[in-house]
This record gives sequence, structure tokens and C-alpha cells, in this order.
Amino acid sequence: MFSWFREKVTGSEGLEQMRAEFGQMLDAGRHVFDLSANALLGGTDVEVIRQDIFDTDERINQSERQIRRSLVVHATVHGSTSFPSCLVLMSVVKDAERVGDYAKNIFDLAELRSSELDDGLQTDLVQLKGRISQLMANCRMAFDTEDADQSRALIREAEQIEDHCDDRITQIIRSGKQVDSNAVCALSYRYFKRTASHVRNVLTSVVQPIDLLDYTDSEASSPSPEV
Amino acid sequence: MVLEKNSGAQQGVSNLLGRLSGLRRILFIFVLIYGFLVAIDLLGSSFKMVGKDTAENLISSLDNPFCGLLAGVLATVLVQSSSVTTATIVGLVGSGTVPLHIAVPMIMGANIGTTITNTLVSLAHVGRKDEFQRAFAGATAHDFFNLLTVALFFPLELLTGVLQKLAQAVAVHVPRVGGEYPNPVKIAVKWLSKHIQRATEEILGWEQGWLALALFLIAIGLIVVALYFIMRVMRTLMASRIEKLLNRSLGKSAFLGLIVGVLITVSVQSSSITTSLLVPLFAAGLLQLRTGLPIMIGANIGTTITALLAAMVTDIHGLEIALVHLFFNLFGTLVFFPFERVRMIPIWCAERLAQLAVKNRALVFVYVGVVFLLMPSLGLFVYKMLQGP
Repeated sequence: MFSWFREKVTGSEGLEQMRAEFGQMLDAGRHVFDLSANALLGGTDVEVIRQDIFDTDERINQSERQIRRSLVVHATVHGSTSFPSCLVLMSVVKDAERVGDYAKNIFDLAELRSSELDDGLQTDLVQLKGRISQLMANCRMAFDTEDADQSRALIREAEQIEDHCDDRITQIIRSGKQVDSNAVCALSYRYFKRTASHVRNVLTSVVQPIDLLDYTDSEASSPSPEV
Repeated sequence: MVLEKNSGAQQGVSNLLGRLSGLRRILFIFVLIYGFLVAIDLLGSSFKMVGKDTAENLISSLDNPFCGLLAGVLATVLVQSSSVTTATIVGLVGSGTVPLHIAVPMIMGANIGTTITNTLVSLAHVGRKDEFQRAFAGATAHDFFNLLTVALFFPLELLTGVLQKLAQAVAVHVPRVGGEYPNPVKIAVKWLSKHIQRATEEILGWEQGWLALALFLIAIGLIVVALYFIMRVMRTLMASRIEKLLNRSLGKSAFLGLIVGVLITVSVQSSSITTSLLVPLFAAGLLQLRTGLPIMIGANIGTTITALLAAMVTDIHGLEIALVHLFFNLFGTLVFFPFERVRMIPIWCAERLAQLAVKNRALVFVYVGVVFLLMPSLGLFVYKMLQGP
């Protein structure tokens, strides 16, 4: 009953709950990304996963709204001491929500696709999908443990994925081939890139100060300086 | 604005509490409550020292219900805490300095005066139109609720004395340690109070009247400091619980809001803290007036705990005025809370006022001046006129 007398005064249960809810958002984001990408690249029947995709996305959106509400209450009760944590959560929660949105975009592509993808690009996209999915899982761990070194390594991995996607899009556009599947491939790379980019934004919250959130300058991805 | 100002102090209290272990925190709270009770006893003693003439002069200046109401409003506006005002009134009534019937309007005035804090907090949102409208409506809904309650019970009390009679009837049945069994709290409080009196007398060496004034100032200072730290410490310790309670009550039933209001206010010993916490939530649109007002009504009930606490070291009259405070707020709740249509009256008034205030921001200052200064003064003038020479 009087446990509040023994609790750490500086700690906050509310913030921990919000972080836990945010972690679930990341998990849900990975789940919808995997489902959509499998539908696009692995041939999963879109009708089988449609409900799951839309329900999970709705859950992600609800979590975003819930976290925003809780953040206002938290900031009101705890005052300025909690502002940095609140601002970080307010920013990354948007990235987690965008991951859900891009998963829906990928699902739309899977639905609209009429022809087979180019074999080489298909294989490349499958590999890329695996890397992004793993990136998301590792991002969750790095965020939970606030592991700066792991986050820096993951930011580098995300940047490589983004660069790879950019290169492929340029390659497709410059190829000059008038193939229907090229539009699907280009959009797939674009959505994959954006997904990796939002995961990277979440990771920057572990290593960057608030004003540099979402930015990956060389300092963010370089190892911590030796003291 | 007020919340921002408090955050520095809050950080200091957090740091202090962070260094204390569980048992020491409990002891710290008890020391603060002990200091508060000593201050109440000291206040009574200082008035006993001033002599019959001075006390009678004070009473005669307050022996007018409108004057009492005005004094309650002004004192609370000045100290920004109804807890300080009501605890002081309990001390004065408990020491026999101020009779019960004079103190009742003062208690009602304190209820009006306390609402100024969240109205001032709402001004922090004045830069953004919609946000300010919601914040100001939220803050003034509490004002209107308390004004309507006073408008209802103040004349009723003048005509019938119902609150006094009920409080007196109940107070005699409240088991109080005393008589042949000594009250250990009272003994402990008296002990320190006597030592402070003796030390002040020895150090200052002043005559009785000046000494009483010095003791009065020490007592008021001690009440303010003790209550300030009790509120800060409890708010820091209870922050996570308050956050959880607020999260649970957002968008939920009015009754749950009422309970949450009582619980938060009892735990922080200040209705101003509870109602001020709600203003940013109103401003952000997270809390609607329908669900926010019950929390404020709950805060009115919860804040009566301070007067009841102060009554622990006074005689039965102190308990009577503390019960008047409780019954006044309970009856106000019983009139306005159960029926949604009645509950909507203060909400409707607040919404209309906020609409006007957004169009003309100067109206806010007119409103504060009229409600917290002009109206009680005008009432006093009308009363004097009706009373005749």
C-alpha cells in the first residue's frame, strides 16, 4: 500500500509504460512489414493477410494516439524534468507509425502487381526484406537496452540499405526498359528505403541529442570517442 | 506559468527525496505534519495573548458575513492556497478567537479564492486561440461551480445556519481522545509550541501585544512553509500515482473522475495542484469539460482533509468549522453532481465566458477583478446599505 514511499523518486512508471507500448508498436510494425513483403515477394495470398494487416495498422495508430495522450499527462504531472524523454518519444512514435503505413503501401503493391518481377531484382528484394526485418528486431533491442554501440552499428546498416535502394531505383530508371514490373520494383525499393529510414530515425534517439534526432551525420554513426 | 515556476522547486524536492530512504521519507512527512500542527496551536496561542479587547475588535470587523466572505476570498487569493486559509481559520476558531458563525462565510470565501490559481495557469495558453479557449473554459468551470455553490449555500446559511448546526451536531459524536485520556498528539504539539513561545519571549523580550504579533507571524509563516513542503513532497512522491489516476480517468465516467479528484487532492493536500494539473489537459483537448469538472468537484472534497487535520490539535470548535468545510463541499457536490443537466450549468457558463474571452482577451482581467474583488465588495456594500445606520 505504501510502496510509493520506497520507490525511486526520479524514476517514472508512466514513462516506462509508454516505452513498453512503443516497443509493442515496433514489434507490430515488423509484423506488418513481414506480412506485406511476403505477399509482394513470396506470393502469400493477399486476402489471407488483409485483415491482419489492417487490424495491426489500426493497433499501431491507436498506440500512437495513446502514447501522445500519456505524454501530455506525464509532462503535466512531472514538469520540465521529463521534457527530453517526452520529446524523444513524441518524435519516434511518429516513425513507428510510418513503418505501419509503408507496410500498407507494400501490401497495396502486392495487390496491384499484375506481372512477375525481374528475377534478379526479386532475389535482391527478398534479401533486402530479410535485412530490414532483422534491422527492426535489433532496433527494438537497442532501444530497450539503450545500447549506443549497437545503435550506431544499426544506423550504419540502415544507411547501407537506404543507399542500396537508391542505387537500385537509379539503375531501374536508367535501364530504359519499358517493363510493367519495373514500376513495382522501383516503388518496392522506395518503400523499403523509407521503412529502413524510419527505423534509423528511431535508432538515432539512442545516440543523438534531441536537436539532431532523425539526422545521421558522421558523428552519429562513428564509434564513441575514447576518453 | 505557475507550473513552470514550480518545476524548479519540484526538482529540488525530488533531489532531496532521492537521497532519503523509505523510513526517512515517512519521518520527513511526519515532521512536516508535526510542524503544521504546532503552527496551528501557536496561532491559537498568539490570539489568546493579545487580550480580549483586540480579539473583540477583530471579531467586530469580521462580524458581517459579506466581510467574512471577502476576507476568505482575499486571503486565499493572496496566499494562493485554500489549505493555508482554512487551516488558519480552524486555528482561530479552535482557539476560541473567532466564533463559528463568523468563520463559515470565510470558509466559503476560501473556496472561491482558491479557483484563481487555475484561472491564472490557463493564461499560459493565451497565445493560441483554441488552446486558450479550452484551458480557460476548463479553469473557469471550477470557478462557476464554486460560485454557484456559494450563491446557493451562503444565503441559506444566513437564513438557517444549517451548516453550523449540522457540524455542531456531528462534532459531538466524533470520538476524540481527551478528557480522562490524554491526547498524545496534542501533548507533543503543545510541548514544542510552548518552547517556541518561551524562546520567542526570551529572545525578543517584548511586551505582550507585540509578542503576540510576533508569534502570530511565526505561526502563519510556519503554516505556509509546512503546507508548501507537504504539498511539494507529496506531489513528488505521488507523481507516478497521480499520472496513473489521470490516465485512467481521461474520457471515463464522471463518478470515476470525482473519486480521482478526491484521491489526488487528499494525497497532495491541495486542490489548486489538482485543478492546475488539469488545465494543460483541457488545453491539449485531452480532457473534456464533462469529464474534467467532476475531478475538480472531487478536489473540493479532497481539500477539506487539511482543515480536518488541523482540527486534531484544537478544541471541538475547530472540528466544527472543519466539518462545515466538509459539509459545504459535500452538499455542493450533492446539488450539482448527480444530475447531468444541473452539472452542465457551470460548464455552460464557462464555455460562454471562454468564447467571449477569446474574442477579447482583456475580458479575462475584468473577470478576475469582478469575481475575486468587486463582487464580494459589492455584496458588502449592499449588505451595509440594507442594514442601515
